[in-house]
Amino acid sequence: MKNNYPMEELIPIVAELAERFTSKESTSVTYERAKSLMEAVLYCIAEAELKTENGTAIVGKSMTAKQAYEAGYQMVFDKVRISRETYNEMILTFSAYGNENYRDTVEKAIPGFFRYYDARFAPQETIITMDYPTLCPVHPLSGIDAMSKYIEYICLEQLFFSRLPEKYIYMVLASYHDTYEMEFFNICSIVLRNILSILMLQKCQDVYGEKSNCERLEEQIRNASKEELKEMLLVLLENLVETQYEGKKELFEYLSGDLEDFACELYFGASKVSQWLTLSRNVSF
Amino acid sequence: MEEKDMLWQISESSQLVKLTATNQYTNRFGLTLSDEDALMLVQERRDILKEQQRVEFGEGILPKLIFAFCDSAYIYQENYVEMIGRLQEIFYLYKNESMDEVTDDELISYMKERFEGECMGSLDYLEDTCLEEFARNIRRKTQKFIGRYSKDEE
Repeated sequence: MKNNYPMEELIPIVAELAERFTSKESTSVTYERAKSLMEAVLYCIAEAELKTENGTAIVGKSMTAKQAYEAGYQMVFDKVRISRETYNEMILTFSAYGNENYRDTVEKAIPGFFRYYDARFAPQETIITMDYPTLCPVHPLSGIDAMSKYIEYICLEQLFFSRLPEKYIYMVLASYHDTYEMEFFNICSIVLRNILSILMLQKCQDVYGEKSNCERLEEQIRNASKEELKEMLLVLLENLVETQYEGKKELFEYLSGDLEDFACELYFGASKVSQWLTLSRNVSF
Repeated sequence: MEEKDMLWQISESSQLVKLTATNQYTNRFGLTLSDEDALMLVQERRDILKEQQRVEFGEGILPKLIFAFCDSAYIYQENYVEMIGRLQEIFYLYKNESMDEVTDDELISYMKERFEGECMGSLDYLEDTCLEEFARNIRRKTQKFIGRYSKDEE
Protein backbone atom coordinates (compact mmCIF):
# COMPACT_ATOMS: atom_id res chain seq x y z
CA MET A 1 0.00 0.00 0.00
CA LYS A 2 1.40 3.35 -0.97
CA ASN A 3 0.45 6.71 0.34
CA ASN A 4 1.87 10.19 0.38
CA TYR A 5 2.22 10.55 4.12
CA PRO A 6 5.54 10.35 5.95
CA MET A 7 6.08 7.82 8.72
CA GLU A 8 6.19 10.59 11.34
CA GLU A 9 2.54 11.33 10.60
CA LEU A 10 1.47 7.71 10.55
CA ILE A 11 3.09 6.51 13.78
CA PRO A 12 1.01 8.72 16.10
CA ILE A 13 -2.13 7.32 14.47
CA VAL A 14 -0.88 3.78 15.05
CA ALA A 15 0.01 4.70 18.64
CA GLU A 16 -3.49 6.05 19.19
CA LEU A 17 -5.01 2.97 17.63
CA ALA A 18 -2.84 0.72 19.80
CA GLU A 19 -4.03 2.62 22.84
CA ARG A 20 -7.63 2.04 21.81
CA PHE A 21 -6.91 -1.58 21.04
CA THR A 22 -5.50 -2.23 24.50
CA SER A 23 -8.08 0.05 26.17
CA LYS A 24 -5.09 1.90 27.66
CA GLU A 25 -4.35 -1.19 29.72
CA SER A 26 -1.11 -2.07 28.01
CA THR A 27 1.73 0.24 27.04
CA SER A 28 3.15 -2.20 24.52
CA VAL A 29 1.98 -4.45 21.75
CA THR A 30 3.65 -7.20 19.76
CA TYR A 31 5.31 -6.53 16.42
CA GLU A 32 2.54 -8.47 14.73
CA ARG A 33 -0.13 -6.33 16.34
CA ALA A 34 1.73 -3.09 15.57
CA LYS A 35 2.16 -4.23 11.98
CA SER A 36 -1.51 -5.12 11.75
CA LEU A 37 -2.53 -1.73 13.16
CA MET A 38 -0.23 0.05 10.72
CA GLU A 39 -1.87 -1.92 7.90
CA ALA A 40 -5.26 -0.86 9.25
CA VAL A 41 -4.22 2.79 9.09
CA LEU A 42 -2.80 2.43 5.58
CA TYR A 43 -5.91 0.56 4.42
CA CYS A 44 -8.21 3.35 5.57
CA ILE A 45 -5.99 6.03 4.05
CA ALA A 46 -5.90 4.10 0.77
CA GLU A 47 -9.69 3.84 0.94
CA ALA A 48 -9.96 7.61 1.25
CA GLU A 49 -7.48 8.09 -1.57
CA LEU A 50 -9.42 5.76 -3.84
CA LYS A 51 -12.76 7.34 -3.20
CA THR A 52 -13.50 10.17 -5.51
CA GLU A 53 -16.14 12.79 -5.38
CA ASN A 54 -17.13 14.43 -8.65
CA GLY A 55 -13.98 13.03 -10.17
CA THR A 56 -11.74 14.71 -7.61
CA ALA A 57 -9.87 12.74 -5.00
CA ILE A 58 -11.08 13.55 -1.51
CA VAL A 59 -7.62 13.22 -0.08
CA GLY A 60 -5.39 15.99 -1.15
CA LYS A 61 -2.32 17.63 0.23
CA SER A 62 -4.53 19.81 2.37
CA MET A 63 -5.53 16.77 4.44
CA THR A 64 -3.40 15.46 7.26
CA ALA A 65 -2.78 11.74 7.61
CA LYS A 66 -5.09 11.71 10.62
CA GLN A 67 -7.91 13.36 8.66
CA ALA A 68 -7.37 11.00 5.74
CA TYR A 69 -7.44 8.04 8.12
CA GLU A 70 -10.69 9.15 9.74
CA ALA A 71 -12.30 9.85 6.35
CA GLY A 72 -11.15 6.44 5.11
CA TYR A 73 -12.43 4.70 8.22
CA GLN A 74 -15.85 6.27 7.71
CA MET A 75 -15.83 5.05 4.12
CA VAL A 76 -14.94 1.53 5.23
CA PHE A 77 -17.74 1.69 7.77
CA ASP A 78 -20.24 2.86 5.15
CA LYS A 79 -19.06 0.21 2.71
CA VAL A 80 -19.72 -2.50 5.29
CA ARG A 81 -23.24 -1.20 5.81
CA ILE A 82 -23.98 -1.01 2.08
CA SER A 83 -22.52 -4.49 1.44
CA ARG A 84 -24.59 -5.94 4.25
CA GLU A 85 -27.74 -4.39 2.83
CA THR A 86 -26.93 -5.71 -0.64
CA TYR A 87 -26.29 -9.16 0.78
CA ASN A 88 -29.50 -9.16 2.81
CA GLU A 89 -31.49 -8.28 -0.27
CA MET A 90 -29.77 -10.87 -2.45
CA ILE A 91 -30.02 -13.76 0.02
CA LEU A 92 -33.84 -13.65 -0.03
CA THR A 93 -33.89 -15.11 -3.54
CA PHE A 94 -30.50 -16.80 -3.56
CA SER A 95 -30.24 -20.28 -5.02
CA ALA A 96 -27.08 -22.39 -5.13
CA TYR A 97 -28.71 -24.84 -7.58
CA GLY A 98 -27.59 -27.73 -5.43
CA ASN A 99 -23.91 -26.84 -5.27
CA GLU A 100 -22.85 -27.17 -1.65
CA ASN A 101 -19.74 -25.05 -1.91
CA TYR A 102 -21.73 -22.21 -3.43
CA ARG A 103 -24.39 -22.52 -0.74
CA ASP A 104 -21.96 -22.76 2.16
CA THR A 105 -19.89 -19.83 0.97
CA VAL A 106 -22.83 -17.53 0.44
CA GLU A 107 -25.14 -18.66 3.23
CA LYS A 108 -22.60 -19.38 5.96
CA ALA A 109 -19.23 -17.82 5.22
CA ILE A 110 -20.38 -14.34 4.18
CA PRO A 111 -22.51 -13.81 7.31
CA GLY A 112 -19.45 -14.97 9.26
CA PHE A 113 -17.45 -12.23 7.63
CA PHE A 114 -19.92 -9.57 8.73
CA ARG A 115 -20.00 -11.06 12.17
CA TYR A 116 -16.27 -10.84 12.76
CA TYR A 117 -15.15 -8.01 10.51
CA ASP A 118 -13.38 -5.33 12.49
CA ALA A 119 -13.42 -2.03 10.61
CA ARG A 120 -11.46 -0.21 13.30
CA PHE A 121 -8.57 -2.54 14.13
CA ALA A 122 -8.34 -4.87 11.16
CA PRO A 123 -10.18 -3.49 8.12
CA GLN A 124 -7.61 -5.14 5.86
CA GLU A 125 -8.54 -8.66 6.98
CA THR A 126 -10.73 -10.60 4.56
CA ILE A 127 -11.33 -13.26 7.25
CA ILE A 128 -13.01 -15.82 5.00
CA THR A 129 -11.45 -17.62 2.06
CA MET A 130 -14.40 -17.23 -0.32
CA ASP A 131 -14.13 -20.82 -1.50
CA TYR A 132 -16.68 -20.48 -4.27
CA PRO A 133 -14.64 -19.18 -7.21
CA THR A 134 -16.05 -16.24 -9.11
CA LEU A 135 -15.36 -15.63 -12.79
CA CYS A 136 -13.38 -12.49 -11.99
CA PRO A 137 -10.91 -12.84 -9.13
CA VAL A 138 -11.19 -10.65 -6.06
CA HIS A 139 -7.83 -11.60 -4.56
CA PRO A 140 -5.95 -8.37 -5.36
CA LEU A 141 -8.41 -6.75 -2.96
CA SER A 142 -8.73 -7.35 0.75
CA GLY A 143 -11.06 -6.58 3.63
CA ILE A 144 -14.41 -5.05 2.84
CA ASP A 145 -13.22 -4.09 -0.66
CA ALA A 146 -12.86 -7.77 -1.49
CA MET A 147 -16.11 -8.70 0.19
CA SER A 148 -18.21 -5.98 -1.44
CA LYS A 149 -16.81 -6.99 -4.83
CA TYR A 150 -17.48 -10.66 -4.08
CA ILE A 151 -21.07 -9.95 -3.10
CA GLU A 152 -21.48 -7.87 -6.24
CA TYR A 153 -20.27 -10.83 -8.33
CA ILE A 154 -22.61 -13.24 -6.55
CA CYS A 155 -25.51 -10.83 -7.20
CA LEU A 156 -24.59 -10.71 -10.89
CA GLU A 157 -24.51 -14.50 -11.06
CA GLN A 158 -27.92 -14.67 -9.44
CA LEU A 159 -29.21 -12.15 -11.95
CA PHE A 160 -27.79 -14.28 -14.75
CA PHE A 161 -29.51 -17.40 -13.42
CA SER A 162 -32.77 -15.61 -12.68
CA ARG A 163 -33.67 -15.30 -16.37
CA LEU A 164 -33.09 -18.98 -17.07
CA PRO A 165 -35.42 -21.89 -16.35
CA GLU A 166 -34.42 -23.57 -13.12
CA LYS A 167 -34.85 -27.03 -14.65
CA TYR A 168 -32.45 -26.13 -17.44
CA ILE A 169 -29.77 -24.99 -14.99
CA TYR A 170 -30.05 -28.18 -12.93
CA MET A 171 -29.94 -30.30 -16.04
CA VAL A 172 -26.88 -28.60 -17.50
CA LEU A 173 -25.00 -28.85 -14.24
CA ALA A 174 -25.93 -32.49 -13.69
CA SER A 175 -24.90 -33.32 -17.26
CA TYR A 176 -21.59 -31.55 -16.81
CA HIS A 177 -20.60 -33.48 -13.71
CA ASP A 178 -22.29 -36.35 -11.89
CA THR A 179 -21.37 -34.89 -8.53
CA TYR A 180 -21.52 -31.21 -9.40
CA GLU A 181 -23.13 -30.64 -6.01
CA MET A 182 -19.84 -31.45 -4.30
CA GLU A 183 -17.46 -29.77 -6.72
CA PHE A 184 -15.57 -26.53 -6.24
CA PHE A 185 -16.09 -24.89 -9.62
CA ASN A 186 -18.04 -21.90 -10.79
CA ILE A 187 -21.47 -23.11 -11.88
CA CYS A 188 -22.24 -19.92 -13.75
CA SER A 189 -19.39 -20.64 -16.13
CA ILE A 190 -20.83 -24.06 -17.02
CA VAL A 191 -24.24 -22.63 -17.89
CA LEU A 192 -22.75 -19.67 -19.73
CA ARG A 193 -20.54 -21.90 -21.87
CA ASN A 194 -23.51 -24.06 -22.77
CA ILE A 195 -25.49 -20.99 -23.83
CA LEU A 196 -22.60 -19.55 -25.80
CA SER A 197 -22.11 -22.89 -27.55
CA ILE A 198 -25.78 -22.95 -28.53
CA LEU A 199 -25.50 -19.37 -29.79
CA MET A 200 -22.36 -20.25 -31.76
CA LEU A 201 -24.17 -23.12 -33.44
CA GLN A 202 -27.18 -20.93 -34.17
CA LYS A 203 -24.92 -18.32 -35.72
CA CYS A 204 -23.21 -20.98 -37.80
CA GLN A 205 -26.56 -22.20 -39.01
CA ASP A 206 -27.58 -18.65 -39.86
CA VAL A 207 -24.51 -18.29 -42.04
CA TYR A 208 -24.27 -21.71 -43.61
CA GLY A 209 -27.90 -22.74 -43.56
CA GLU A 210 -30.03 -24.91 -41.32
CA LYS A 211 -28.20 -28.09 -42.30
CA SER A 212 -24.97 -26.82 -40.89
CA ASN A 213 -23.90 -29.08 -38.05
CA CYS A 214 -21.62 -29.18 -35.11
CA GLU A 215 -18.67 -30.55 -37.10
CA ARG A 216 -18.77 -27.53 -39.31
CA LEU A 217 -18.71 -25.23 -36.32
CA GLU A 218 -15.78 -27.08 -34.82
CA GLU A 219 -13.91 -26.81 -38.06
CA GLN A 220 -14.51 -23.08 -37.99
CA ILE A 221 -13.15 -22.95 -34.47
CA ARG A 222 -10.07 -24.94 -35.43
CA ASN A 223 -9.31 -22.44 -38.17
CA ALA A 224 -9.77 -19.40 -35.95
CA SER A 225 -7.09 -17.74 -33.84
CA LYS A 226 -7.44 -17.40 -30.10
CA GLU A 227 -8.17 -13.69 -30.42
CA GLU A 228 -10.80 -14.31 -33.07
CA LEU A 229 -12.48 -16.87 -30.86
CA LYS A 230 -12.52 -14.50 -27.94
CA GLU A 231 -13.89 -11.73 -30.10
CA MET A 232 -16.63 -14.01 -31.40
CA LEU A 233 -17.57 -15.04 -27.86
CA LEU A 234 -17.59 -11.42 -26.74
CA VAL A 235 -19.99 -10.45 -29.50
CA LEU A 236 -22.30 -13.32 -28.63
CA LEU A 237 -22.18 -12.45 -24.96
CA GLU A 238 -22.80 -8.78 -25.65
CA ASN A 239 -25.82 -9.72 -27.72
CA LEU A 240 -27.08 -12.07 -25.02
CA VAL A 241 -26.77 -9.44 -22.29
CA GLU A 242 -28.29 -6.80 -24.54
CA THR A 243 -31.36 -8.85 -25.37
CA GLN A 244 -31.94 -10.77 -22.15
CA TYR A 245 -30.49 -8.55 -19.43
CA GLU A 246 -31.30 -5.05 -20.65
CA GLY A 247 -27.67 -4.54 -21.63
CA LYS A 248 -26.50 -4.53 -18.02
CA LYS A 249 -22.89 -3.47 -18.36
CA GLU A 250 -21.71 -4.93 -15.05
CA LEU A 251 -23.09 -8.34 -15.97
CA PHE A 252 -21.39 -8.26 -19.34
CA GLU A 253 -18.08 -7.31 -17.75
CA TYR A 254 -18.39 -10.02 -15.14
CA LEU A 255 -19.35 -12.81 -17.53
CA SER A 256 -16.69 -11.78 -20.00
CA GLY A 257 -14.19 -12.71 -17.27
CA ASP A 258 -14.73 -16.34 -18.34
CA LEU A 259 -14.24 -15.81 -22.05
CA GLU A 260 -10.46 -15.73 -22.08
CA ASP A 261 -10.32 -19.21 -20.54
CA PHE A 262 -13.12 -20.52 -22.70
CA ALA A 263 -11.49 -19.21 -25.88
CA CYS A 264 -8.18 -20.77 -24.82
CA GLU A 265 -9.79 -24.12 -24.11
CA LEU A 266 -11.51 -24.11 -27.49
CA TYR A 267 -8.35 -22.99 -29.26
CA PHE A 268 -6.13 -25.63 -27.72
CA GLY A 269 -8.82 -28.28 -28.02
CA ALA A 270 -9.07 -28.78 -24.27
CA SER A 271 -12.81 -28.62 -24.67
CA LYS A 272 -15.08 -28.85 -27.66
CA VAL A 273 -18.28 -27.06 -28.52
CA SER A 274 -19.99 -30.41 -29.02
CA GLN A 275 -19.26 -31.30 -25.39
CA TRP A 276 -20.84 -28.11 -24.17
CA LEU A 277 -23.81 -28.55 -26.48
CA THR A 278 -24.56 -32.02 -25.18
CA LEU A 279 -25.09 -30.64 -21.68
CA SER A 280 -28.54 -29.37 -22.63
CA ARG A 281 -29.61 -31.98 -25.15
CA ASN A 282 -32.14 -33.49 -22.77
CA VAL A 283 -33.66 -30.19 -21.80
CA SER A 284 -37.10 -29.38 -23.06
CA PHE A 285 -38.65 -26.04 -22.19
CA MET B 1 15.04 4.32 8.30
CA GLU B 2 13.13 1.12 8.91
CA GLU B 3 9.56 1.22 10.14
CA LYS B 4 10.47 -0.76 13.28
CA ASP B 5 13.28 1.65 14.18
CA MET B 6 10.87 4.51 13.90
CA LEU B 7 8.43 2.76 16.18
CA TRP B 8 11.10 2.11 18.80
CA GLN B 9 12.20 5.69 18.81
CA ILE B 10 8.78 7.04 19.54
CA SER B 11 8.66 8.82 22.85
CA GLU B 12 12.11 7.52 23.89
CA SER B 13 13.43 11.03 24.33
CA SER B 14 10.90 11.79 27.06
CA GLN B 15 11.66 8.52 28.85
CA LEU B 16 14.78 9.80 30.60
CA VAL B 17 12.96 12.81 32.00
CA LYS B 18 10.13 10.67 33.29
CA LEU B 19 12.48 8.14 34.86
CA THR B 20 14.51 10.69 36.76
CA ALA B 21 11.26 12.34 37.83
CA THR B 22 10.37 9.16 39.74
CA ASN B 23 13.18 10.02 42.17
CA GLN B 24 10.88 12.53 43.82
CA TYR B 25 8.74 9.63 45.01
CA THR B 26 11.38 6.92 45.49
CA ASN B 27 13.65 9.14 47.59
CA ARG B 28 11.53 8.37 50.61
CA PHE B 29 12.52 4.70 50.24
CA GLY B 30 16.16 5.61 49.83
CA LEU B 31 16.18 4.90 46.12
CA THR B 32 17.53 7.23 43.47
CA LEU B 33 18.25 6.91 39.76
CA SER B 34 21.13 8.89 38.33
CA ASP B 35 21.01 10.16 34.77
CA GLU B 36 23.38 7.35 33.78
CA ASP B 37 21.17 4.76 35.45
CA ALA B 38 18.11 6.12 33.67
CA LEU B 39 19.94 6.09 30.35
CA MET B 40 21.04 2.51 30.93
CA LEU B 41 17.48 1.42 31.76
CA VAL B 42 16.11 3.11 28.65
CA GLN B 43 18.76 1.42 26.53
CA GLU B 44 17.97 -1.91 28.14
CA ARG B 45 14.29 -1.30 27.46
CA ARG B 46 15.03 -0.84 23.80
CA ASP B 47 17.04 -4.06 23.66
CA ILE B 48 14.43 -6.03 25.56
CA LEU B 49 11.61 -4.76 23.37
CA LYS B 50 13.62 -5.79 20.36
CA GLU B 51 14.35 -9.18 21.82
CA GLN B 52 10.73 -9.76 22.81
CA GLN B 53 9.51 -8.30 19.51
CA ARG B 54 7.28 -5.69 21.07
CA VAL B 55 6.57 -2.05 20.34
CA GLU B 56 5.89 0.39 23.14
CA PHE B 57 4.02 3.64 22.83
CA GLY B 58 3.61 6.36 25.40
CA GLU B 59 5.57 6.64 28.61
CA GLY B 60 6.50 2.99 28.86
CA ILE B 61 6.38 0.49 31.68
CA LEU B 62 9.46 1.55 33.68
CA PRO B 63 7.78 4.27 35.79
CA LYS B 64 4.98 1.84 36.67
CA LEU B 65 7.47 -0.83 37.70
CA ILE B 66 9.41 1.68 39.79
CA PHE B 67 6.32 2.92 41.60
CA ALA B 68 5.11 -0.64 42.23
CA PHE B 69 8.40 -2.06 43.51
CA CYS B 70 10.14 0.87 45.19
CA ASP B 71 8.65 0.07 48.59
CA SER B 72 9.89 -3.52 48.52
CA ALA B 73 12.05 -4.66 51.39
CA TYR B 74 14.19 -6.59 48.91
CA ILE B 75 15.14 -3.56 46.85
CA TYR B 76 17.72 -1.10 48.07
CA GLN B 77 19.93 1.49 46.43
CA GLU B 78 22.76 -0.98 45.68
CA ASN B 79 20.59 -3.36 43.67
CA TYR B 80 17.92 -0.87 42.55
CA VAL B 81 18.95 -0.39 38.92
CA GLU B 82 19.75 -4.05 38.42
CA MET B 83 16.43 -5.13 39.92
CA ILE B 84 14.36 -2.69 37.86
CA GLY B 85 16.25 -3.75 34.75
CA ARG B 86 15.53 -7.43 35.43
CA LEU B 87 11.93 -6.68 36.32
CA GLN B 88 11.27 -4.96 33.03
CA GLU B 89 12.89 -7.87 31.21
CA ILE B 90 10.66 -10.33 33.05
CA PHE B 91 7.64 -8.11 32.50
CA TYR B 92 7.95 -8.02 28.71
CA LEU B 93 8.77 -11.72 28.55
CA TYR B 94 5.59 -12.58 30.41
CA LYS B 95 3.47 -10.13 28.46
CA ASN B 96 4.31 -12.30 25.51
CA GLU B 97 4.03 -15.57 27.39
CA SER B 98 0.57 -14.63 28.62
CA MET B 99 -0.38 -13.74 25.05
CA ASP B 100 -1.30 -10.20 26.09
CA GLU B 101 -4.29 -11.60 27.91
CA VAL B 102 -3.43 -9.73 31.10
CA THR B 103 -3.18 -5.98 31.47
CA ASP B 104 0.02 -4.24 32.55
CA ASP B 105 -1.41 -3.50 35.97
CA GLU B 106 -2.57 -7.07 36.51
CA LEU B 107 0.82 -8.48 35.60
CA ILE B 108 2.73 -5.97 37.72
CA SER B 109 0.40 -6.55 40.64
CA TYR B 110 0.88 -10.33 40.38
CA MET B 111 4.65 -9.92 40.08
CA LYS B 112 4.79 -7.69 43.13
CA GLU B 113 2.63 -10.00 45.21
CA ARG B 114 4.78 -13.06 44.42
CA PHE B 115 8.04 -11.14 44.68
CA GLU B 116 7.18 -10.08 48.21
CA GLY B 117 5.66 -13.43 49.12
CA GLU B 118 6.95 -16.83 48.12
CA CYS B 119 9.84 -15.47 46.03
CA MET B 120 11.23 -13.53 48.98
CA GLY B 121 12.94 -11.13 46.60
CA SER B 122 14.30 -13.79 44.22
CA LEU B 123 13.82 -12.72 40.62
CA ASP B 124 14.92 -16.12 39.34
CA TYR B 125 12.18 -17.82 41.31
CA LEU B 126 9.69 -15.21 40.16
CA GLU B 127 10.63 -15.68 36.53
CA ASP B 128 11.16 -19.41 36.33
CA THR B 129 8.55 -20.71 38.72
CA CYS B 130 5.79 -18.29 39.67
CA LEU B 131 5.28 -16.50 36.39
CA GLU B 132 5.83 -19.65 34.38
CA GLU B 133 2.88 -21.24 36.14
CA PHE B 134 0.87 -18.02 35.91
CA ALA B 135 1.40 -17.82 32.13
CA ARG B 136 0.62 -21.49 31.68
CA ASN B 137 -2.67 -21.06 33.52
CA ILE B 138 -3.58 -18.08 31.37
CA ARG B 139 -2.81 -19.96 28.19
CA ARG B 140 -4.85 -22.90 29.35
CA LYS B 141 -7.85 -20.80 30.25
CA THR B 142 -7.87 -18.51 27.27
CA GLN B 143 -10.23 -19.56 24.52
CA LYS B 144 -8.01 -18.34 21.75
CA PHE B 145 -6.50 -21.73 21.02
CA ILE B 146 -9.60 -23.76 21.70
CA GLY B 147 -11.81 -22.08 19.13
CA ARG B 148 -13.44 -18.96 20.45
CA TYR B 149 -15.29 -18.56 17.20
CA SER B 150 -16.23 -22.17 16.62
CA LYS B 151 -17.71 -22.27 20.10
CA ASP B 152 -19.95 -19.31 19.25
CA GLU B 153 -21.21 -21.02 16.16
CA GLU B 154 -22.36 -24.18 17.87
